[in-house]
Amino acid sequence: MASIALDRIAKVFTRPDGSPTRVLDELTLQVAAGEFLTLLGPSGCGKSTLIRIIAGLEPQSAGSVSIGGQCVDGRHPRQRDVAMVFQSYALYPHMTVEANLALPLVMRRLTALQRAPWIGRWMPGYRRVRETIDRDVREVAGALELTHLLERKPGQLSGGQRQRVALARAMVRQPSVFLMDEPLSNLDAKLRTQMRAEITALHRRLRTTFVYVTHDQTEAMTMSDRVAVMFDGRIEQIGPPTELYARPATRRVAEFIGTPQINSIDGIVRSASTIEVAGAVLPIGTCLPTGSVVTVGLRPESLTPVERAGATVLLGRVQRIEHMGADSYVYFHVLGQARALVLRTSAARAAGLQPEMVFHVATSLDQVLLFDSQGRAIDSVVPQIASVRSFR
Amino acid sequence: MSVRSLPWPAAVARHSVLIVTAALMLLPFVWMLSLSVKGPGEMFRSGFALLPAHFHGLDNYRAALTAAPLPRFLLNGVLVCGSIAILQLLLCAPCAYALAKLQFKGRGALFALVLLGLIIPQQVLALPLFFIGYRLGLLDSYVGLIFPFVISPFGIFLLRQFFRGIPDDIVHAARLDGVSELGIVWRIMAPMAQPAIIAFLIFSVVSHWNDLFWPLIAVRSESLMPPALGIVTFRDAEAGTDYGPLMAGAVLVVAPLVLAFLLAQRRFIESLTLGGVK
Repeated sequence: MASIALDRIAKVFTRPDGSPTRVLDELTLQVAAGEFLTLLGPSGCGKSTLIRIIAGLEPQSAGSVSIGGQCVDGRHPRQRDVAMVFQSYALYPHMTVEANLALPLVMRRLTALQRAPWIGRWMPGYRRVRETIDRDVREVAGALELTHLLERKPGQLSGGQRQRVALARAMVRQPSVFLMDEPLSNLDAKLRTQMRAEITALHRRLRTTFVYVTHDQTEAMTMSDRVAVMFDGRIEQIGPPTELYARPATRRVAEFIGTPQINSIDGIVRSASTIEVAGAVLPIGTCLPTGSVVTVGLRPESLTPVERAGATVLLGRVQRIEHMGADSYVYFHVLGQARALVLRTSAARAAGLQPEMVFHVATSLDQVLLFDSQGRAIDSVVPQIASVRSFR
Repeated sequence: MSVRSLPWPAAVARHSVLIVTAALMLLPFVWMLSLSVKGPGEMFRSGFALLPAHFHGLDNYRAALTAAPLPRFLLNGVLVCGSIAILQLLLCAPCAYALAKLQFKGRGALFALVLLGLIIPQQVLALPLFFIGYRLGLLDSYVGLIFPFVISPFGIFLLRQFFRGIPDDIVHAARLDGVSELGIVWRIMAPMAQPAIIAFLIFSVVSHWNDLFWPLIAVRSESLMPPALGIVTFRDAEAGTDYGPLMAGAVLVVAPLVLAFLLAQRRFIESLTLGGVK
């Protein structure tokens, strides 16, 4: 268990044509000991590069990395006491599962002479060390239910089993930091859900520092203590999952997190306490001057089809409905918006709706998010009485 | 791959072409076998017979094995070809790994040099190598037979291409697991590249077993001669124009390679086509 501190990390790649590309830009990040931190971002945002820099597999162009309070710049990966799980699992295909799991221990516990082919096993102390290795391998294999697979080769395993072997190989030498680079993205949906739970349980049991890279917001939201959302080589926002969802710092974060995606529509500040959106006037106060254009973010679940019209109710025309089982997604058009909005409601409420039907949509005002023209979140003031929650 | 069935005239035409070319390739070989069991009088008789009228095989093979030190030649061949193959592998694999997976300045230029080495024929280098061997006193020894071939640009190229196909993540995982760079070559890359390595070893052993050119330059002592050279001197010195024993000797020299091929035919073809990696 160790903390990680990244201080103004920069990474510049040189393209084949000679022009530099800045992948990471003065990135500073602290990970507490024992924390589960997720780096979340779209592909190409630099999250994988960052985790490779922490592991020491790639040198940073500037800045410094500390693990457990010690600067590890220039240290070889094997001296950093970190273990990594790769997206491709990166198991050694020519070795059995047992040999795959034993290799990190063989390299650390046996001397070069004891590792030598043929003669190694006759070196003094070999058998004693080898027994400790076998014991630890069996223990880890038992913990991850791999004992019956120890004699197999990776090629004979299913995706989920390979994933567990990769996890076990990372666990076996009890590193102080676990790094995981999109470990679940090659699994099917059902297995992914299961492995998510297993990794969370693993973290709870080991209490080791985890840094987890993913582009999948569900993984980030369900597993992490904190999530760092990355765009273009910077951390846009960092915080607990609930905070990122409820109070995104920027429009990009709001749009990246949440399924279906948040509805972003233009609104105009009409007075100190009202904003006009798609024909409706919402009683939301801002500090912006009258006439300013704002982006109003409406989460799909903050919109509800209602019977009655009203000042804070939008008028929508149904485009299509997706039934997800318990929930339904209703896509609809509102006045003055080219793109369809989406709301999420119970299947019962959506039952009465048909495509092309005109209906009323109420908004939960306390869930409305406002962003200025640069995409930064701005504070809003919502009168408690007017909250649409009372409609339900 | 499915086999398309052809209309019968096309099939006949195709097989005729294949049979004729195969026969052309095999004819000298068959002729060699046939001559190796014929007596001296029969060889120059006009008219063509594949099988001998009188079987002289025993005499010919006995002469081949006793008149010249043929077993010694074969042993030399094993020693020289084996040393060359092992040394080539020991040097090529790390070079190929560096060129495939390590980042350093001048990597492209180095690889260009390897490619250059690939297109220079052995004969061009014979004279410089002869001088080097002479200066270092290596001529007329096993070392003299081996040293020009210890570094093989072909081996470096072949293995480099194969190593490039191995994902970087495996190298990264090995580094995190504490494996040194040379350890990665021998513990991870080489076992994964086994088909390429076997293919390379086949090429290496076959070409040096059959090599006549360099041994002709480097060696004078009969006791050091590899098989191909041995056969040539055998013709001059012992057999004269006695072609029966000569052909018998040739058969004995070729036999080990042919036998090895027949025994491991499937494995060889798999390796040469570099299939079944994953």
